[in-house]
Formats: sequence, C-alpha cells, structure tokens
Amino acid sequence: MLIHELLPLAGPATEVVEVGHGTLSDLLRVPDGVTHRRYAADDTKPDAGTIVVGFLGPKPEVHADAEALAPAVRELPVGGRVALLLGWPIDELPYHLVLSLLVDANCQVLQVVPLDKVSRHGAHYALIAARVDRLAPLRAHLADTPVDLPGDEPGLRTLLRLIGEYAFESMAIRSARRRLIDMRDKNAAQAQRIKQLEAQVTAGERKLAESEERTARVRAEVARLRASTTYQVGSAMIEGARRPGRAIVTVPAGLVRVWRKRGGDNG
Amino acid sequence: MTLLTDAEASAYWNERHKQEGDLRSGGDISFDEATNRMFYMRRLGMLMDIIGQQTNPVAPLFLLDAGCGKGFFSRELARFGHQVDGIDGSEAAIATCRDLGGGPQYHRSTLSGWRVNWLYDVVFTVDVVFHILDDAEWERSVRNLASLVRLSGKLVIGDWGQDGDRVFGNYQVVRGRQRYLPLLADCGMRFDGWEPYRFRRSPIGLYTFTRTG
Repeated sequence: MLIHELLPLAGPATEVVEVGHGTLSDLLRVPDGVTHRRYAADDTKPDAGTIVVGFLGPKPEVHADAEALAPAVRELPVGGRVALLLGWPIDELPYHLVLSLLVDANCQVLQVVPLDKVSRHGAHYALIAARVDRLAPLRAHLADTPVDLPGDEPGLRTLLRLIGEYAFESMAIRSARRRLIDMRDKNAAQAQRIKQLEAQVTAGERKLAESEERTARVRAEVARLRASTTYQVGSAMIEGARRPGRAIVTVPAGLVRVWRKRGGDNG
Repeated sequence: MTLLTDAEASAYWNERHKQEGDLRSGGDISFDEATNRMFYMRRLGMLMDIIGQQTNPVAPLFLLDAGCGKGFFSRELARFGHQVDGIDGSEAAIATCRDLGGGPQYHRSTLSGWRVNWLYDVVFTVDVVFHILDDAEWERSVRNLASLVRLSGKLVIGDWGQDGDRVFGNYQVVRGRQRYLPLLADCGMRFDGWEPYRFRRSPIGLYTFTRTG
C-alpha cells in the first residue's frame, strides 16, 4: 500500500492532528478541506472526525516518541482515529510500545498495513486504530476498503474464533520463532567459521607470497653466480676434466669466451 | 446416465490432464484452447476483484487454490505477489505444475484431505466442486475448505448460482444455493454474494463467503 492511500483507508476526516515534527502533510497528502495541525495539549479538543497521525521509529531526529503520542490519543472521542507510520522493519518492531498506548486509550487496532517504497520515506508499516466504545468489525489483511466503525459488532462466535485462532497461531508462531532463532544461531556460527577460514586463507596467502619472494631471491642469486667469471672458468675446467680427449679444444675455447665477455662481472 | 465413481472420475481427470492442452485440460472441454484462455482470464479478473488489489512481498496474502489443475490461477496469483498453495488430486497435473514452477507450492491432495498448520486469507476453488459427484465427499470438501479460512478471510467457490441441483453428463453435478448457504453459515461463513461468469452462456459463477465466526 502507498502512504497516500492511508488517510482514505482510515475513513472520512475533518481534521488531521500530527504528533511530532509537523512534516507529514505532504507525505500523507492531506486532502483539501481537511485541516492539518501539530498537536498541542492546550489546543482545540479533537472530535470524531479527527485522525491523529505520527511517525514513530528508532531515530529521534526524524521520528516522534511513542510517549509523546499518548496525550493526543487519550483525548480522542469515540469515532476518532489514529494513523501511525512505523519506521522499524517488522522483525524489529517494538509493537508493545504502541499496543499498550492504544489499549490504555480505548483504541482498537483495526489494521497493520505493510507499506511500499520504504526506501523513499523510511516507513515500513502503518497502523490504523480507532477510539471505540464497542468492538469495531474485524478487517482482513491488506483490505483496502475504508474503515467502517459502525458496522456489525463482532459477536460471541467471532470472539471465540478470534481467541481460538490466537491460541493456535501463537503456538505455530512460537515454533517458527524458535526455528528462526536456531537459523540465526547457525548463520552466526557459519559466519564465524567463514571468518576463521578467511583468516587462514589470508595467512596461507601471506606465507606463499613470502616463499615466492625467497624463491625469487635465490633464483636471482643462482643466476648471478652462473653469470660470474669464476663459475664459467670453473665450468670450462670441469667440462675439460670430464672429457679429457676434447679438453685440448673445449678448455681454451671456453676460456676465450669468458675473456670476451669480461667487463661488467667482477666474479 | 450413471455418474462416474470416485475412482473413475479420478482416472478420468488424470488422463484428461495428460491428453489435453494447458488450459483445456482443466477448463471447459467444449471450448478450444484460445477460448479457454479468454475464459481463464475472465475468471482471474473476478478473483482479483474478490481477493483485492493490494499486495506486499514482506507480508503477503496466503492463498489456497483447491483443485488447481495445471496451475494457471496459482501461477498468475503468485505473479501478483501472493503466496499460493495449489492442491490437486491428479498426479499428472501436479507434475506439470511443478515443471512449470513460478512460485506456488504444489501438493497432491483431494479437497477434503488437505491438512496444513496455517490458515489462509483466501481459499478458492474454481469449477472443481461440481466434479465431486458424491454428495458426502462434496460436503466434506466444502467443510474442509471452509475450515482453512482465517477470521475475516474469504472462501470462493465456483458453482451454479440458482436453487436446486442439476446433473450434466456423467461427471458434473452442480449444486445450488440451498446447499451452500446453510452449510457454510453453519461453518461460520457469511454469504457475500454470487457473481456469474457471464461467459458464453455459462450458468456457473463464483460464490464468496467471509469468515465471521
């Protein structure tokens, strides 16, 4: 759902009262004819056409504090509504803060709505609630028809079903949550193991580089020795000793070759 | 005309899914493949109207396509971002679904036999239950599908919208409102309406029920 679909979802409004920094008018696209003001304790009291809005989240410089919202919500008369943007991802949402606040003010949570384009505005979810003096009709996930507070009040059968679903889903969620914790633990262990292996690979690569450097130094030294006059004279003499029959030719020729190459080599 | 037995009907559908094209196999056998595509698109649009136009990848709707055949509706609704389970009794149909993929999870099961540990936002069965010829099995199927719908969720059933039952050939028994409304009221479902397909004189349409208790 898009943010500008929220106010129509919350139902008809005459006034939008914002708790927080006063920056939500454009984001929510408050319609013409609906007044928008920041909440102040000594201001005009809200009526049933009022929607209290706020953007709660983890960043104080951007988000309002849940406690700051409480007085505005408590002032709502029956029929007044609340539309909150929530700046936490769902798996980090400290919903106990909002839930207690709303229940304390006799407000029924009507819908929790996932929002699109999170990267643009930072609001992951929105919550629609209403001040009630009897239960409002229940709403389906992702329902986008406007809130209808005076609709059929949930009866005993609905409440029994609700409590039953809560009990079973609670059990299923506990199991899923437990598996999630296990998976996170496994992921953390795997990440740790990957770090260890990466450190081992880095150490191995360092040793390999050092060995290659030593090998290169030794090869250079060998090459230098082989290029030296001493080595070449020695080689010519040894070759002569190995093949005495040809030594009379090869030894003088080798020495002449060494003599011709003399110059830069002091070996 | 004598109706097929359950085993004969099961074999008939498995063979039909092997022999016929993607849509005609589970659609209207009197239409060609192209007409069936139109028919499928019409019904998909009706399902969209009932399921709604909101979707979210983080907190999707969970849907059950009961009697999914080769999975046209399952795949299309999964493409809309919904999380879909498709079930069908035909091994051949489920094998095709799995080959085609596309996001849904497929399982071989009858409508009365499907068991799961989560409830669905919407359970729909499009032109399937009138192929369940045995009345007791039909009732078990409808009750089971209803039991899978969460509070405020919807049950959508494709069948005949008038009162009275009627038999077509040896493998279709359409059942009327006098069957569905009391049965599903007993299951805690509110009747929201019946909408005809309005396609080539088809007498069938979609019942929509919402769980309220």
